[in-house]
Amino acid sequence: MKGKRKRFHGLKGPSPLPSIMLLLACLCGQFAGSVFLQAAEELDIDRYRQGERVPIHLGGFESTTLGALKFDLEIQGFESATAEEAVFSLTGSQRGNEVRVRLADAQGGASVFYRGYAGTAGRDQAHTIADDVVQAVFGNPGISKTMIAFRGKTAGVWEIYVSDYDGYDASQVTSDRSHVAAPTWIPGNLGLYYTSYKVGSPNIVSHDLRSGSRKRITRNSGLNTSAALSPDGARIAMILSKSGSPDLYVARKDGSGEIRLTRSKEEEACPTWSQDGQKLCFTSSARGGVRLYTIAASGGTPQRLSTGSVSGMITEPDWSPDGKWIAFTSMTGGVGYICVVPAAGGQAEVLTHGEDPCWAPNSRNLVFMREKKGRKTLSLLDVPTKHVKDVFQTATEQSQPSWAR
Amino acid sequence: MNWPTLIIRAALVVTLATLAVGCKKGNKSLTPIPGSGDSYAGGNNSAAGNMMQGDGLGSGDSLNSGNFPNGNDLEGGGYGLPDDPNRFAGKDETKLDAETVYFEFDRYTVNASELPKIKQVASMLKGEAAALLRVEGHCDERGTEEYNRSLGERRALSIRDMLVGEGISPDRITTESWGEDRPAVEGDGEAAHSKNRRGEFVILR
Repeated sequence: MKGKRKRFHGLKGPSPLPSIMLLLACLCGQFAGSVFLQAAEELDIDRYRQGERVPIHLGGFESTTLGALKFDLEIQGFESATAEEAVFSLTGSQRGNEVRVRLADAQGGASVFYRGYAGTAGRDQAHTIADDVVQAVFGNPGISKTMIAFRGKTAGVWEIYVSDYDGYDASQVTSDRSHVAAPTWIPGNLGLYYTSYKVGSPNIVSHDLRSGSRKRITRNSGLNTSAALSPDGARIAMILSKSGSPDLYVARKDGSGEIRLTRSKEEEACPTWSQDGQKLCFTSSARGGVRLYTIAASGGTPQRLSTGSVSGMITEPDWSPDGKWIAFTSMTGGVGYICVVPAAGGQAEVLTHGEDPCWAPNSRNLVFMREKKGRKTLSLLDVPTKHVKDVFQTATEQSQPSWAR
Repeated sequence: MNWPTLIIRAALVVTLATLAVGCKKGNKSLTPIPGSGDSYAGGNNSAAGNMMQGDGLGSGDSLNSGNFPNGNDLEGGGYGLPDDPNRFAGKDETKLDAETVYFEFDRYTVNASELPKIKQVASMLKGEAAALLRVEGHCDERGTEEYNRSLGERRALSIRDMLVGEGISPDRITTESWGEDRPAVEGDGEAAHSKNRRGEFVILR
């Protein structure tokens, strides 16, 4: 390991957790569980706190597996490196119908794990290996086998799609040739809510992806959009205009028992739930500027959420699954920036160009939209390292990503 | 804690120590994982398996193209006003291009310069008692997609309110927001943006 070393003197815990997770949990700084800090020894962690990636050397893998492994690891805090520069080495060797994989200290040679993976080489196998590496090093489940939903535009028509998190194996789930928007996953289920224009006015529908069964959730004139399911899946937040202005509502997941939460004459938009289901964060222009507010899901007075010196039009909040962060879009002069702020408000951090961030289940990665050559494309961001990768694009344009979680 | 876990933990300790002292060579007192290790079928202990509980995705499921049936037909209608939900559906549509109302950036209030257009539409509706009206709200691309969907609706509702102020019954007017999804003009300069921040009128007969 190169570079200036600084020693970190951690707390001495009663039972030092002997794990490399300790060192590497620090890589993602405050995004990682701090429990490991209790066992801190004298570690060189400053560089990782600042978002440096972990050098890993990959060798002995079939080309499709290698490509997917690199993608999976590089978006979760690792960086491909030469054997000389690597901290870890990940080596595969084919034995009959399985590949045997060793994760080791690249310099000392000590094994972290040595496992056999049955089945054919390829993306699925790479995802399994990558998540095992992430688990072994960071102590958190990886995201390589998760899914996203989005809307995709082909031949001028937007439809709903779902795919693996890296954009591969996409499946088009609507063929209405009408118009759709704002897909969002039902937590823990193979199903979506989204806005469909097929029924006349834009209205919210639910869609069971196994059966194809769809149900109307709203039945109103005007605007009915921006569905967000509570983390327990029991309730829905949404934007309805039937009062005469786009306002924030909550209801049971089937649309019944509706409660109106805002009563401004200005527009509200983009609700997201806190992890405990007690609060909502949303966008409003009611008090000047386009800003974020939080409100009790049972009703109350909206409270302004500070984003510090980050201004512009502040929209598209997404509350992280661990409850600690809110990602959002700041737009100035038509240029969007992906930002993250502590859930209680404070100084937001600007991460990269783009719009519409949505957290992965690990509360570390974001999927977002950015325009490349005038076309909307989806990309992934590793928040601590600010590393960005484009997902595989299926449609001509893709936007409004939602990460299954 | 089972035995393999202990072994891994032990290896981790040593690896950690190795890293902590700057990857010094010669730390060979390690116990390597013996044999071929634990053999995995792909997919267990994965994030996807843990994430999708309940009646969701089993850990063995993965997405392959074509796995999902397309959504079934959605029942139409039912979105209109309570007294006659289908009254805006299935009509002949005529767009009134000359009366399109334009807005300032991120504003939903109607400028005085646009008032004659609204009066013209009100006059037309007064002359055709059976005609209905759809007001479509649009935005330029300098907002985010769902925010613009709300803003476009707010613009359409402003126009509706002014028509009501001209004496038109609100029951004859429906609103529909397209956000930034249907620009009138492609392009990213103000010349295009100013043409895209608009409210359009469609007469339904």
